[in-house]
Amino acid sequence: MRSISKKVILAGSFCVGKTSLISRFVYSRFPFNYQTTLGVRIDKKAVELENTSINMIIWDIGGEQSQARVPESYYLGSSGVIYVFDLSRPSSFYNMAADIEFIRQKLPKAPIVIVGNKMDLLDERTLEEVKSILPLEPDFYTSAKAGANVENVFLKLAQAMINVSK
Amino acid sequence: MNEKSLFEQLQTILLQEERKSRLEINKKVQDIKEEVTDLKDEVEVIKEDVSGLKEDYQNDEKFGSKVEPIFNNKIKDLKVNFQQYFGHEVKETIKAEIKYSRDEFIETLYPIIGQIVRRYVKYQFDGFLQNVSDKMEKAFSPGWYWKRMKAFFAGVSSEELLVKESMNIRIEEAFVIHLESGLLIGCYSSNNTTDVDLIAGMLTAIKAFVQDAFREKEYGELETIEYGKYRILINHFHKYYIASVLTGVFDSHFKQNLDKHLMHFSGKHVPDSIKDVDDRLFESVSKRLKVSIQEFESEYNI
Ligand SMILES: Nc1nc2c(ncn2[C@@H]2O[C@H](COP(=O)(O)OP(=O)(O)O)[C@@H](O)[C@H]2O)c(=O)[nH]1
Ligand SMILES: [Mg+2]
Repeated sequence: MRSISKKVILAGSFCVGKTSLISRFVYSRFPFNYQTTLGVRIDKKAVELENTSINMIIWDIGGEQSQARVPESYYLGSSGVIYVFDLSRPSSFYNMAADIEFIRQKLPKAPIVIVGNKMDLLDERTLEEVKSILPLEPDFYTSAKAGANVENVFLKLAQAMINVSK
Repeated sequence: MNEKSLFEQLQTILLQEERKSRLEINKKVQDIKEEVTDLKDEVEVIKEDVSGLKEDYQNDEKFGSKVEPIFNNKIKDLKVNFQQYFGHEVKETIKAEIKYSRDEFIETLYPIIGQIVRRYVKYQFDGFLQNVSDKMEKAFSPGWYWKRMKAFFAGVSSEELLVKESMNIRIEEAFVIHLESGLLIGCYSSNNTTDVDLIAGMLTAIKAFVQDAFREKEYGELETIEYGKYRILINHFHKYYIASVLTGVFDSHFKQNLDKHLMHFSGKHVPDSIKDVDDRLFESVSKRLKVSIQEFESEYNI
């Protein structure tokens, strides 16, 4: 089987659950002693699709995620992006459209998967209300805490990156 | 090399970087603000205490002026005659302490002294080798003086073991890393290090951080990272860089030769354009890199 490495980054506002999603995906657990990530953390996990093993090297940046302040090198050479917002915190998705536009300009070829996280904090009615005010429709609603839909986020990104590679 | 340690050390460097983050600074400012408010409160309390003390003192003025000269005289006397009064007891106490806690003393001091000696010796040797090699370079082949040095230090006494040990150059690892993405294109490891993908990413993050912090171009690229006993030399090429992890003492001639060697390796065995970083590329580059480093080591007799 062919194996190919890809750099993947997580983007989105502070405290939306980026690090938690990675932990859930890579280590199958939710990080219980919560700590704000301030610098760069790098993890990896391979997924298999279409007879190809995709070795995802996942970069996680912490601190205050005002997009313009993320160092250039964070985006450099990325093949895929997971953009995360917090369904329970409107300030984390107000600027979503502009944020994503910004990333597209930086990485015109990289697929972006949009994720609304912390689904577990909303009951069904509130979720419907939130959906109606979202500036963009996300690809997935997830809960890093409950482990809902997390795997699918990364699989979808892996698939999209293979398609670009073709 | 202990595989964990390189990995962990890189993590530490990255964590140092974390501290510079804006958020932390904001938080610090917030903390400082809070501290200032706390301090203000404390100052208020102290003010009250002081005015209380003042009153006490004023009431007891007479008492104070009587006692003071006695104290002053006693203190003066002690200053002059301390040795005579207590010298013997102090000496005996220390002697006894050392005698009965010999092991503890050695245990406490040993690592500190060991480290200082090692560092000093390494420093002296870097300079010394540079000197010797400057003189010898023109007259002899590079392998020559290494052999000489080795012969010179063969069979030295146990105190000098430290010296011998710290001279021993080893190329512990070498990584060929894609410049932009930090993806690992190939690697050589004399220790079967795991987590090489992560190390490649971290090195790239550290490099980028240094570049950001020092506003790049002016200072050029990061060329070495020193951490504990490791020195990581970085050679830049167009689309990738090679990071070599070394231990031991070496001088700039050694470095120049390694540069040359890696340049040659890169021109011959790493493709100019890299579309995908996949296992085929990784295996071919790694295989060549191993051969190339072994060639270099045997040339240097290391
Ligand atoms: N309830 C709930 N809390 C979450 C979820 N994901 C993350 N969190 C919490 O949100 C906070 C921020 O998470 P973190 O992963 O550090 O966010 P980051 O700053 O985007 O990396 C932490 O307290 C997490 O425990 C989730 O799916 N549900
Ligand atoms: Mg985080």
